[in-house]
Order: sequence, then C-alpha cells, then structure tokens
Amino acid sequence: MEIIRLIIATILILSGVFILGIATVGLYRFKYVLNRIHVAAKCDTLATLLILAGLIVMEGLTFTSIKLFLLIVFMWLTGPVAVHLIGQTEILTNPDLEKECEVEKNDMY
Amino acid sequence: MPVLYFLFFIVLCGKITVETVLFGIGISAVVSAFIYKLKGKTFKDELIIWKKIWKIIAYMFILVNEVFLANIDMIEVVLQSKIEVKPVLVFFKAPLKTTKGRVALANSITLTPGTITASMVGDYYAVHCIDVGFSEGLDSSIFVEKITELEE
Repeated sequence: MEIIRLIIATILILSGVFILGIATVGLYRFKYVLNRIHVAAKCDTLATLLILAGLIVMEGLTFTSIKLFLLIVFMWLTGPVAVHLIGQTEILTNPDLEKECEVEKNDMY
Repeated sequence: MPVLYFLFFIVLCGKITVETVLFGIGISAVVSAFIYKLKGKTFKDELIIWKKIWKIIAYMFILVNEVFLANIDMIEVVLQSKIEVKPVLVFFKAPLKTTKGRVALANSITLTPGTITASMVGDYYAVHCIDVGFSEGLDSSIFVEKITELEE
C-alpha cells in the first residue's frame, strides 16, 4: 500500500516539475511581456496543483494535507488577479501595443 | 460562513482540544459578526450559496478539466518552435448579471492557459490570447453557460 502511494505521489510531483520546466523554456521562447505572462503564470496553476496534490497523496489525510489543499485554493484564487493586473498595466501604458499584437476594434480604449 | 471560519481556525491550529474549540467558536463569531456588519448581509443571504454548493463543486471540476486540456495545448505551442504565434487582443460581452459571476468568469478565463483577462468594465471583457486559436468561442464557452446556470 505504502509503495503504491509513493509511486502515485512521485508521478504527480514529477509531472508538476516537468510542466514548470516547460514554463521556463517558454519564458525564453517569447519576447514580449504579454506573451511571456501566458507561460510564466499559467503553467504555474497546473504545476502547483500537481506538486501539492502529490504531497497530499504522500501525507495522507492529516491536518497538514488539509493545509496543503488550502494552499491550492488560495493560489488559484489569487494567481489570476496578479496576472490580470500586470496585463492591464501593460495594455494601458504601452502606446505601441498594436505592433506587438493584433487589437480588435473596440469601444473600450 | 461562521462554520467555515471555525473549520479554518481548527485547521490552522492543527489539533482539536477544548481550548482550540472554545477559542475557535469565539473568534469565528466575532469575525463573522464583523463581516456581516461590513457587507450588510445576514445569515439568510448565505444559505442561498450553500444550497448551490454541489453546483459550485461541479464547476470546480469542470474548471480543473479545462485547465488541464488548455495546458496541453499550451505545452504544444511552447515546444514546437516552428509555430509562429499570433497574439491577439479580443473584446466581447458576456451575458452575466451579477458582479460575482463576472469576476468568476474573468478569473476562470485567466486560469485557463492561453487567455488572460486584461480588463473588465461592466460586462465588457478585454482578453489577450497568445494565439488566434485560443480566442474562438470565448463568449459562448462552457464557463459562461455554467455561471449563468449558477446565477439563477
């Protein structure tokens, strides 16, 4: 039983680390801030979920694992807000936005 | 909400003894009284949310599933250096009525890789997509459908 739990936890943690590694590669592949944000901040949501899920499996049902679960919840709630603020600042302050990405016709800006 | 605060306190304490339970009841009562006064709501308003708890949990599972699928697409985009990405900033209106629903939709869009909610004014969203492919069907996605269901 113990060995099965260890295997599941290892698979989860390793896949989380793999996704974080890809996020790092992506950081160097893209040149513009809004493109970089996608890989830098987004792969994190799944990677943290997988790594913490692996730790929860390893820990079993204790107070520590409930705290780890709360970590996932708060990461998922607060992560998008930070990303959203960086994106909004970039769009509002960059006068040459249309050089970097296609902007649809709108009546917002 | 008081129940949630109490459970949170117990989890943070890490053990169940007479002390933690008594302190937990006291602190959660004070905190929830403060929040009710601050937001001008009563206990009855919250019961509406508790009735929808299963739908909310189902929504969470859908969200995790969508994040998984979109992440795989994203990994493909990153690893295949031949693909030249075409970033695009799209604007759309979502048929949501409550502010809670709108914020939930904005956060869900940001959580799924490939799309970021850059700005939101009323029900008007500005979404940055890393590739044109991610921008299709944003205003009629599964999130809009499920949140409209939750709002009722």
